[in-house]
Formats: sequence, C-alpha cells, structure tokens
Amino acid sequence: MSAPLIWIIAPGLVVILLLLLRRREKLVIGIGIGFSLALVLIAWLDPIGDVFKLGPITLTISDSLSVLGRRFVLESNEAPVLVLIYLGVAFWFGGAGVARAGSLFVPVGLMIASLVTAALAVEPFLYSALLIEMAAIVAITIFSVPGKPINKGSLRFLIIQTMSMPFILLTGWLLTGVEASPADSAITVQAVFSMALGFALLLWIFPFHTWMPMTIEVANQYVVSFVFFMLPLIITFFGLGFLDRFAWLRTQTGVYTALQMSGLFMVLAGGFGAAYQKHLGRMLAFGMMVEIGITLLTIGIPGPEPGSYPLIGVFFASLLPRGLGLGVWALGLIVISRADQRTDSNLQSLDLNHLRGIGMHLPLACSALILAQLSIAGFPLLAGFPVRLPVWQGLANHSIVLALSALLGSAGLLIASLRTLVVFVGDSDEMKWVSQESWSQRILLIVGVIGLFLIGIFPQIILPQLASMARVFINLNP
Amino acid sequence: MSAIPLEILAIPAVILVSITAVGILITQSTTWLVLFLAMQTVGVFLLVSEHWPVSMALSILIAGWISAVVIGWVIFSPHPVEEMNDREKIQNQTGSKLSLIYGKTVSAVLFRLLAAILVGFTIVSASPKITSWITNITITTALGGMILIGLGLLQLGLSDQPIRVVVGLLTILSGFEIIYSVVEISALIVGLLNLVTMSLAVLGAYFLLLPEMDEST
Repeated sequence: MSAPLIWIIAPGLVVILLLLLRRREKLVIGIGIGFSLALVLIAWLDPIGDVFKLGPITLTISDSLSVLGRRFVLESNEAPVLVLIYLGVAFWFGGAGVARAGSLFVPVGLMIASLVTAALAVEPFLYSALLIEMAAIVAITIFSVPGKPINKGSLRFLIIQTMSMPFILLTGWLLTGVEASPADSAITVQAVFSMALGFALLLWIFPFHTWMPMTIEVANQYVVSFVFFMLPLIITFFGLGFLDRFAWLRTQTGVYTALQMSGLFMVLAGGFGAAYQKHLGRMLAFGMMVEIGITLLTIGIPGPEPGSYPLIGVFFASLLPRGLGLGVWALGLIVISRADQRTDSNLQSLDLNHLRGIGMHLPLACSALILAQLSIAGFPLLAGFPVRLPVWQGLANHSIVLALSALLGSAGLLIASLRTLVVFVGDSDEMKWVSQESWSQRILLIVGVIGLFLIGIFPQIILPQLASMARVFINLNP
Repeated sequence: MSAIPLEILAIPAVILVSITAVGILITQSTTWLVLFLAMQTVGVFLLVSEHWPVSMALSILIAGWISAVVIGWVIFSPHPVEEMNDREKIQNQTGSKLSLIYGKTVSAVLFRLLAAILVGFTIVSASPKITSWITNITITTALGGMILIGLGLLQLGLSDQPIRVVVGLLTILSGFEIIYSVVEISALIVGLLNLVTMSLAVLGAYFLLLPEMDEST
C-alpha cells in the first residue's frame, strides 16, 4: 500500500464508478462527498510511513509509487495539503445539487483533485506541468453547456493552459543548465524568461486573464468557481516548489520584483474590473483576479534575509477564506440566476440591470452574495479580513505604493459590492417581501455565511494551523 | 537498432511536416484535415526517432494516429437525421457537416498561404540561433519543431473554430515534442505527452458533439 495509491489512483477508480452512475445524481454526489471526506480523514490521521498490524498481516503505507521509472511521492509533511484539497472538493460537492452543477461535475471534480494531487507528488516536480494541463483539459468538459457550442472563454483557457506547458518543461531543462554553470548569464536569462512566461500563462496573469470573465458569463458559476479555487492552488504550490528547490532563484531580487509587479497588475485590473462590472458573474471573475494578485503580492514580500518569504504562511491561511468566499458567492449567483424567471439565460439574468429589487424575493441569497463579496474584499469581521491585514501591513512596511495598490484593489471590490447592494434593495413596484429560496438553498447559504463570520471573528481557531502548512517548503520558511 | 536510416529521413520528415502543417492551415475539407494530421504525425515520429529510442518514438506515432482517428470518427460518424433537409443529409453522409470554411474567395486561401510562407521564412532564418541555444539539436530537428510551432500558432491566431483550435494546439504540441526530444528522454514524460495529445483530441471530439447533446446528457 502506498500514499499515491490512496490519494491519486483510488479517486481515479471512483471516478469511473461515478461516471457509470452519473444518471443518479444524488447518489453520485453522496458517494463523491463521502469518498472525499474519507480521504480527508485518512490524511488527517497522517498514516504515511506507519506500520499497521491486522492479525497476521502487516501493512505499511509507503510514501512513493513508481510509474515508468519515475516516482510519485506523498510525504507525511504533505498530509495537510491533501486535507485541504479533498476538503475543498467535499465542500464544493456539498453544494453541487443545489447549484445544479450537472451530472459530470462530481466525477470530473474528483478527477481534477486526483490530477492536482498527482501534480503535487510527481518527481521530477517539473512534470507537474503536464498533469496540470490534464486537469485543465478535464475541467473544460464541465465548463460547457450541452446543446450549445463550446464558449470562446473555454477555448481561450485551453490555449493558455496548453501554451504554458512547453515553457515550464523547457524551464526545467534550462534550470539544470543554470545549476551546472551558474556563471552563464545567457542561460539564466533564458530560464527566468521561460519560467516567467510559463507561470504568467499558467496562473492567468494579466493579460492572460480574459478567459475568466468570458467563461463565467456563460458557464455554471459554481463549477467555474471550483476551478478558480483548485487550479491556482496547485499552480501556486508548483511555483513555490521552484523557489524552494533552486537556491539561486529564490535569492534573486528580480523574483520579488516580478511577483510584486504581476500581483500589482492583477489586483488593480481585478479591482477596477469588478468596480465597473454590470454582470455579477464577471464580477466574481474579477474578484478572483484580485485574489490571485494578492497571492502574488503575499509571496513577493521580501524578508530580512535574501531568499526568505516571510508571509508564505499567510498564503496558506488565506486558502480557507478564499474557498468559502468563492463558494458562497457562486452559490448566491446560482440561486439568483435560477430563481429569476423573467429571463432565461445566465447572461441576462445576472446583469445588474435586470436585478433591481431582487433582494425582496431572495434575501438570503443576496445577503450571502454581498457578504462573500465583502469577505473577498477584506472587509472587517468577515473571513477575508484576518488574512488581508498581515498582507497590507507587510506591503506597507516594504512599499507604500504596493500597499495602496492592494487597498485600491480591495476598494474596487468594495465598490462592486455596494453597487450590487444598491441594486438588490432598489425599488421595484411589483415586489413584495418574500423568501423564494428552497430549504436546501437556505441551509447551505446560512452555513456559508456563518462560516464567513466565524473565521472573521475567531481566526485563531483554524488559520494558524493552515499557516503552518508553509512548513512543506522548508527552504522558503527558515 | 541502428538510428542511421532514420537520420537520412530527417530532411524528408521536415518537408512532410511543413507540407502537412500548411495543408492543415489552408484546407477547407474535413477529410484532408484529418489526413494531414495523421501524416504530420509520421513526420514527427521520424524527427523524434533521431533522439529517442524507436519504441518511445513509436508511441508518439500511435498517439498521434489515435488522435486523428478520434477526431475523424466524430467528423464522419452519422449525425441524427431527423430535422435535416436533403442537402444536409448528403453532407452528413459524406462527413462534411462540420464547417471548416473561413472564406469563399481565393484571396482567403492565398492570405493563409502567404502568412505560412512568411512564418516559414522567419523560422528558417531563426533556426541556426536555436541550434546554438540547445546543444545536440540538429538543424533539421530545430526546423521541423519550429515550423510546427509557428504554423500551429498561426492556426490559433487565424481561427476560433473549436476543431481548428484543437488541431492547432496538437500541431504546436507536436513541434514541442520534436524539440523536447533532444533535451529529455523519459518514459513517463513520453507517456504524459501522449496522454495530453489524446486528451486534446478527445476534447476536440467532445466540442464537435457538444451542440448535438441534449441537456440531460
């Protein structure tokens, strides 16, 4: 028995079962949640490397699995990451029924989790680029709407993700050249350029972000938000792996500058984009841009020693508020778009011009959506605030321009949420105060909102444990 | 097994990938699109055989052919005939229901051809530089790889038809495989690259089927 067998191969096999059962949606969701939670529990107990005795049988869970001469390795210190991946999957599956995410969502979601775990485990780690590409290809199947041609945003996503792969793989080869002859500046420049372009494509950095609003406008917002959570998570892990493994790279001051500049562009583009948006789905995409930008800024704050990344723990801590914020926001969008019978397409029904006074009909969905927006903006008392505060402080200590830019991005999201609020509670002659959400929708939305407040008011309960996941990258967090 | 005969075939392989990549770019026929894709894979196989063991190179050939078959199978399989008029039924039987048409005039084809020639000239002039960047790479390998990457990029830039996008990406990936074969020999990477190639083809087939699916699918 080996850890990759449990967290990579077994989910892959369950995917086949779920595909066979996909007509029975509730059963599929139940199996998906149960299986993901079982994997979370096993990861939580952290049995990697332990020996179990079942009568005469001795069972050891080894940390590696050999495939075609290379290894997939999941070590004990990566168990918290596995908890996070499969907990995120279970969380999203929990709302799949209410969000009408489609019969493919659960099997494909589990497949994506399996692939990103494989990307985490594969050695040499550069091969992760291929597994992330596989995850992206699989994700596109759930972006599509049966009966309609594939949307242009998804095609753009496919192109961007596929184009990133050659750059990352070539970077790996160039980096070995840099290690062999560190004085050769030409190879260093080529390696850094190739890596920067590869990651800009992979992490949808401005101007490669355009697929996000295009796709979420027409696809199921809940499904897209799942991909927004899972892929940047593993891609950031992958990027941190580069910094952790190559000493010469992490000590380059240019790396900090590149992270700060790309983060700055993302935060500003996302903030301005959200502030001017009229479509609630596109607003979520711009909110995600701000999240990616903040991640880059968080990692890009230099420590006192060259090559140290002091706020890397904050990135890990921010994953829970981000996941919760995205999930609640997307669920609110789905409830609003499905309840609004006046129009029959997402494109129109999530347009602010069509939603005046909708808060009278869907008070819980609208409240949850506004609170999720505010949380991602970093509003006090909500989940996003405790993880934004150290970033703003760190940025202010380093550069006031960067700190102000980060605040400007959050201000953009704040303006977006205020505009949304004004529309939701606006006058409408025909409407009476009535809650049209179903009970299952109400329960999920209320649980989500309570979660946003609990993490915001009592961050000390869970966020420090998440921040400690930074120990996986021992060289970045000495 | 000696690699010498395959080295002799390197120049014909470069010519083959160039012709097929240009053909993919300018053809408006689905039949030729699939045939060019399948033939292109033969050229890729010959070029990667210079650096990889034949068994590994063969897997690239097989994956490429499987991809062409998957796309071809969806293009040429009969579509539901209800609600089709006579003309559509004839098109359906001949496998030409899928539209690859980008323009009715000769100038549309000429424009693509000239753009391909321009990309070709750029690559021919840049290839010696690539041989200085990557040690052990031959000029034929660099040319073959870069021509596919360049013409694949051109394909992506000139069309947003889903099947053309997928074929463009497959072309770029083939070009990358040729160049990457010089710097990396690993069974896992070949396996993963083949998996990505076939997944892209399946995705292309899915794109073609998507408009015909009902919401309960």
